[in-house]
Parts: sequence; structure tokens; C-alpha cells
Amino acid sequence: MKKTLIILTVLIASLALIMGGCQSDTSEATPAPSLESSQAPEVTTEYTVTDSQGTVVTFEEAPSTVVSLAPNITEIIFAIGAEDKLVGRTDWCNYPETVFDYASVGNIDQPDVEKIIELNPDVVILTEMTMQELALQLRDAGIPIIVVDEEDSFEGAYGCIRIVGETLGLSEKADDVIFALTKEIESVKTAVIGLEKKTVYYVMGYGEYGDFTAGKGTFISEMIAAAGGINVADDTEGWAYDIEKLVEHNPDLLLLSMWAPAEGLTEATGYKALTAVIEGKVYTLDDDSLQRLGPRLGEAFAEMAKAIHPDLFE
Amino acid sequence: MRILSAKNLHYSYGKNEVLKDVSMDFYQGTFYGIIGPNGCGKSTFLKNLYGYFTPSKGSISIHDENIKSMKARQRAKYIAYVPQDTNTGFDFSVYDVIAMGRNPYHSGLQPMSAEDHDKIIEAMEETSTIHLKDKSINELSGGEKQRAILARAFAQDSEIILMDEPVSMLDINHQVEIMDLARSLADKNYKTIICVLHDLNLAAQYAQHIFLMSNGQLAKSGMPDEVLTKEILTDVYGVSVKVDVDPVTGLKTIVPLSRL
Amino acid sequence: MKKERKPPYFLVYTALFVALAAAVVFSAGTGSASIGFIDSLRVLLSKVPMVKNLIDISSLPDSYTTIIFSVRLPRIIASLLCGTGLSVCGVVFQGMFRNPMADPYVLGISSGAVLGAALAFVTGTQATLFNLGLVPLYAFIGAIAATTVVYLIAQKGGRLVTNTLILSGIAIGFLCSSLVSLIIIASREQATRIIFWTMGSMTGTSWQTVMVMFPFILIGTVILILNSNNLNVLSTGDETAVSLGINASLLKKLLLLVASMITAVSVCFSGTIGFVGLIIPHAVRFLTGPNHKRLMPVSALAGGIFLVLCDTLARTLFAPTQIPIGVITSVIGVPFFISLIVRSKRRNLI
Repeated sequence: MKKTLIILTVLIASLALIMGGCQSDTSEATPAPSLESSQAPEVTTEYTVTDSQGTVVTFEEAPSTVVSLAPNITEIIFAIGAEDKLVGRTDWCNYPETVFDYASVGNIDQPDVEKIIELNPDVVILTEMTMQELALQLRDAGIPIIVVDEEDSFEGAYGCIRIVGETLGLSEKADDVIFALTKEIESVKTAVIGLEKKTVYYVMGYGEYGDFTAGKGTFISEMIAAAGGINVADDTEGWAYDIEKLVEHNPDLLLLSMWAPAEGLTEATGYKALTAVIEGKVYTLDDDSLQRLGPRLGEAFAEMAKAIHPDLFE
Repeated sequence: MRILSAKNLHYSYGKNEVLKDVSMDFYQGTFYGIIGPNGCGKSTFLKNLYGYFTPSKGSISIHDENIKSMKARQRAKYIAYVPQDTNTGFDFSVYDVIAMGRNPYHSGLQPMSAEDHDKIIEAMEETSTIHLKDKSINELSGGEKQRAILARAFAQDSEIILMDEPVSMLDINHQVEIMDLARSLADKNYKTIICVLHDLNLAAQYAQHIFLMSNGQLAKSGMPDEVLTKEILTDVYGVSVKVDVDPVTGLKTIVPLSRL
Repeated sequence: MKKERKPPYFLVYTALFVALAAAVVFSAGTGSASIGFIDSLRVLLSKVPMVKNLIDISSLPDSYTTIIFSVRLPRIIASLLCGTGLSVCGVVFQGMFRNPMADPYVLGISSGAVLGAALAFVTGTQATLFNLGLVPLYAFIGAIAATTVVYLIAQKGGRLVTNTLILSGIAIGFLCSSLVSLIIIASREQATRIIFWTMGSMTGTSWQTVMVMFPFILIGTVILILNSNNLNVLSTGDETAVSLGINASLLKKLLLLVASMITAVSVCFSGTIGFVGLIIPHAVRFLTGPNHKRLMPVSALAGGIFLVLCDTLARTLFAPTQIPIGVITSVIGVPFFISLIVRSKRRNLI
């Protein structure tokens, strides 16, 4: 027993020592890298960025390498012409096609932190979809992180673009992208003024796993309204919907997510009786551009408006 | 010398009063038998004696000191208990089981002292269990197990040993073995043995003093000849008995009479 | 005479400590960034106060140090602590209930923890306490609340009857599971998170987590190990234990309290890791015998080694996807345990 106690004490002491050593080390987070340039101007190149969570991050100079942990962020990086800085993206990043030439660091929720550390980027831009503890690990390892998580709305998309642009020192380019996007969106909104409003139902999912749509208060619902449509699912909040209510409403047309295959609708209980299905007024929208707060939002919005008012865009 | 005394003991299981004002005195170096019909409270009484149960009324004293005021360890140095159920759970070696008898004398943090080891060996010698010491306790036969448990109680080096129906499950050869051993602990080692017994003939043969219980009370106390009479037994057990003295052995024999 | 009987356990402990250290070094060197055993050893030693001056790691990339100390080591230590804690608690519960099927979760601790965690997920709190999420706190409260209810139902006049405890534990366990199912139905989006939490995971363990776990599990384990001999006696039955001078009632309450604390702390951070508390005590008992003075320390060390290795597998088998550690413990644990049973049957030990 005594020997056991001695051994135990030794183990505890050594463990404590090691942990003490580790603790002091990780709290000395290495600051954002500074470049010693021979052309260093007298005016400091240091700037700060406030991310979506209100955290203020200081950069001594614009990052030259970045890892993106969300598809919309990746798209924004390409849109502002910063793809040469991109050293890592997620498995879910799929636009533009050239993104597949770039190294992947795993999935959005639990990316491979070790790989990211090995890549040693100047900044990692992520959303709240990434596990918080892993984001903190990156930060504690000395890699600056910027959390981009704006509200689901047009303004939110502009916000995302702005923050990414600021972070990479490309605010002007970001402003250009935002300006073009705003123009796209506003022109669609203007075009549908005065047009007869159609009733719309967005099919997020149907079948054995249940019926899902975009209820009142969701961004998609607001987009439908802005595109000159009336979302029949505004009588519910959230995502689950009652098929009977849908049959009752019998909307003019259906907008489909890519999870809701159009072919199956003609066989699906309830759906097959809808006028929209019988008349073929069923339009599949591209989920990626629609659901990402990024540069393709305008394009997706226009597609939606076209689906609702086909005659307008002929 | 009086060593253990129970005064006006009351004990209840829930609403059911199982011991009603029971008083008994025990003296050193004597073999006591406690007998009585099922449910009379004899096992419960035993469990009160060593402190497993706390009486609702009354007191128990060892050397005139109330056991309530004693720490568990100290009490265990005075009084040991051999349970009816000899199942010890895990596969401890016989040596380890007997060694547990030394628990009142050493805290588990140090290895056992030489004195502890000596006592364990002595216990094994007295109970003829030395040859079993490395076997697993669950491998032993009924009789061997009972001897091992008795050895544990011996190793406890207590003045009093309580035994709760120690031989009810054993063959007659093992019965004699254990009872002889128990009796010699009283005679040779001057211990006080308090043995709850089922078998009246064993009580007649081995006990120096008998307490007969009935319905939670003490019905009769005295020497075997005084207690084991036809009238008393028939009254308490509710069945006719024949009480004889065997001409060959000189021992009292009690035979219940069939009603057929 | 006694000294000749016992095998030289000092050697056994030394071997186990070395194995544990080796497992830690190995685990620190394994992962999606391949570092290797020797380099891992060098990096680790470079931080140990007395030894650090002898080690030169300037040839190794900085990322090695960061990866080992920021990413891998916290979860390795956490696995070690959980493995140790859960194993020792398993020994205690099996001894206390005299039932080899008992494990640390038998009194509803795990179900209570899952319920707490589910509530935390559903109320969507991103808030932090001491830089730790609210999920561990809710899980801990859930675990302790469930155990307290189990205890209150089972205790009778201050006495704890073990069979009643087990039954009560089963009942509360079912209650908590049903409530969790309700929560899942009400908030489908959280279903995956809750289920993954149930399987146990060390992903994202931070040093803060380890700092909180360390004292609880360490002190608790030491207290339990110090009670090895008492547990020996207790395991023979209450009546016998009391007759041998053990205050059975008090001892049971102490063991229950400390073991519940250790288990709750382990579970609230890492989720419910199954099997460790059940099979490690069993496997070790086959080797050391039922004497808790050997069984407890050896189980502690073996459990630590086991979970460190399981965690290594959890994050490397299908990298970069992380497998919940509870899945690994089951997949490894079950066949190993069956083989032990088969071997024991052959040797006629059972």
C-alpha cells in the first residue's frame, strides 16, 4: 500500500508539472504574423476587423493565406479575387469548380484541426456551424479566427462579404461585389412591383420523413414575398408543415429544393392532387446559391422570381 | 464473569414488533444455545447483539459498556458473528477470507503485522483449515466453508462468537465437526459462544445453557435439563414431543411425535 | 510467509506506469499530422521542467509542438482521467452491489447526464462558464440530480439496500431516457447532436476542461483506492461487514458519493462512454483476483491506458472523421471480454 501511495504521488506530481508547463505555453498565443518588408511604409499597415460575434481582431498586415470553413465564405473569397490566398477549404465547398484544386481540411462541423495547424494560415474564416471548441483550439494555437455569422437576409449576405473583404484587406473589391449584388437584387424587386401575386409553396422535403417547408419568418419566405409571391406556409413558423393544410391552400406553383425530387410528386399522396403538380408548375431551385449568404444570392433570387413570374422574364 | 448483557430489548421490522422486552445475560467461557420456533426472533436477537440492528428500546452491554457508545471497530474486537449464509461473494482465497477477521485490528492502509499473520495461522490450525488456505472460498464444500468462516471469527480474537444456525445445511459428519469445534472454543479457549440452533438434539448435546424464545419473548432460560422438558417444548412448539435420555450415550433426545 | 505468496506487484505497477506513459507518447505522436513516437517523446520532454534543457527540438516544425500541446494532449489526458475514473468506479459499484454486472451508470448517472445535455442543446445556450460551454454544467447537474433521486427513493431510515438502489436506478434511467426521447421529437435538429453526445466524444477537449476534471477525478480515485480494504470486507455482505467493524451504512454513502462525483465529472465533459466501467474491472479481476487492494490500482491504470488507446483509434481510424469514443470501447471491449470468459471457462475458473 505504501509503495502504491509513493508511486501515485510521483505520477500526480509529474502530471501536474507537465500540465503546468503546457498551460503556460498555450496561453502565449503567437500574434498574427508580421512581415518585415524592405518597402515598409512609415504609416502602419495595422488594421482591425470586428467579426459577427463582436470580437475585434487586429491584423498587422493583410493575411496572405486563409483557410475557409464554410462554402459561402469560399465563394466570397473567389468573388473578391482572393483565391490565391486560399490554402484550405471544406469538403462541402463546391463552387466554383476550380475549388476542387484546393486542399480540403475536412467537414464544416469538425474540421481537421491538425491539418489546419500544419497549413499555418494567417487567418481562418469560419461560421458558427463549426464546433466552438475546435475554433478555440485554433485560436489558442495562435491562428487568428474570424467568425462570419450574419442573419439570414440580403443584408446578412452583404455583411458576410464585407467582413471577409475587410479581413483579407480587400474591402474595395468586396464593396464592388456588394454593389453588383445589390443592383441585381433591387432590380428583381423593382421588376415584380405591380405584378399579380401568385401563391407559392416551397418544398424543402416530402415523403416518408415528413413534409418540410420554409415557414413564416424564414429567409426563403421573405424572399418569396420580395419576389412577388405569397408563401402559403406563412401560417406556420418553423420548418414542419401539415400536408392537409397544403392541399387546402392549393398554391399556384411549387418551388422545390434539391432534396425534393420533382418526379416523385406525381405519385406522392396529397401532392399529386395539387393543381400546381397537375399543371406542371413545379420549379427546382439550386439550393447552394439560394441558401448560402454569398455572391450568388442575387442570381438565385432572380431564378426564384422567374419561376414565380415566368411571363415577366421571357 | 458476566461479559454480555441484553436488557429489555425491543425491536420492530416496520410495524411488526419482533422482540418484546427480551433480557439475557451471558458469561465467559460458556456455550449458549438459543432455540425456539421459526419467527420467534432468535436470529433478530443475534443481529441486535452485535450491532447490525439497533434496538428500538433497551440496551446491550459488553463488560458493562453500552455498545452504542463503542466505535464499530472496537465492538468488533469483542464480538464476532458467523452468519447463516456463508456466501462470501467474490472468489477470495481462504487465507484472504480468514484474514478479514483481522479487520478490527489494522487499518487497510498498511500491510498486516506479524501479529496479524500469527493470529490467522493460529485460527487455521484450530479449525484445521491450513491445507485450504490458497483455495478459492467458493470451491470449498459446505463443511469446509463453515470451518473457514469460523476460522475468520477466531482470527477476530474476540471474547464472544455469535453463530446463527451454523450447521442447518450440513451433513451429520460436518455438523459434529463444527459443533465440536465451537464447543472446544468455549472450553479450551474460554470464549463465549452464543449459538442459535434449529436442532434441539444438538442443543441438548452441546449447550451448557439454553434460552428458549417464543413469539419475540424469552420463554425459558436455564440448563438443558430444565428447559428441554416435554411440557415446555410441547407448549412452545405446539407439537407433542417425546423426551428421553439415550441409554448408550447418556444424551437427551427429543423426538417430535407425528399426529398420524 | 505472506511475502512469498504474493507476486512482486511492485513490478506490475511499474510496468503499468511505463505502459501508460508509452501510450500517451504514442497517442501524442499519432494523428492526421504524422509525428512519430520519437519526435513525440522529444516534444513532450521539451516541456518537462527538469529535463527540458537536455532536449533540442529546433529541427522539428513548430506545428508539431502546437498540435501536440493544443490539440492532442488535452484529449489524451482527458481520456486518461476518464478511463481511470470510470474503471475505479466500476470496481467500487461491482464490489458494493456484490454484482459483477454493475457499472458506474447503474444508478442513473448517465441517463441524467444525457437529459441535462439534451436540455442544454435545446435551449441553445452558447453561453460559457469559465470558458466552458453550458452543456457540461447542465449534464453534471442532470447526473447528480438523477443519482440523488435514486438515492432518496432507495434509502430507508438512513440505510441503503443495494437491491432497491439498483431497481430505483433502472426506473430513473428509463424516466430520463423517455424525457430525452420527447426532447428529440420536439427538436429534431438537435437529435443528431444529442445522439452523438450519448456515444461519447473527446473532440475539442480544451485544457480548461482537463483542469476542471483533474482534481475531481484524481482526489476521488485516491479516496476510493484508500478504501480498498474496506471494500474487500463490504463485498462479503453487509452483515459480515458490520460484524468485522465496518460502518457499512456510512461506507456505502461515502463510496456512492465519491464514485458518483467521479462518474458525473467524467460523463459531463465527454458524454457517456460505455463499457469501460464494466469490462475493465472484470478483465483485471481475472488477472489480479478479487482483492481490491490490487484490483483498484491496477484497474485505474489499465482503464487509463485503455481509454487513451481508444481515443487514438477514435480520431485516426477514419480520419478526418471522428468516431465517437463510446463506439470504439464497445467494439473493442466486447470481443476481448468474450475471449476472457472463454479462456476462463477452459481453465475451469468459472
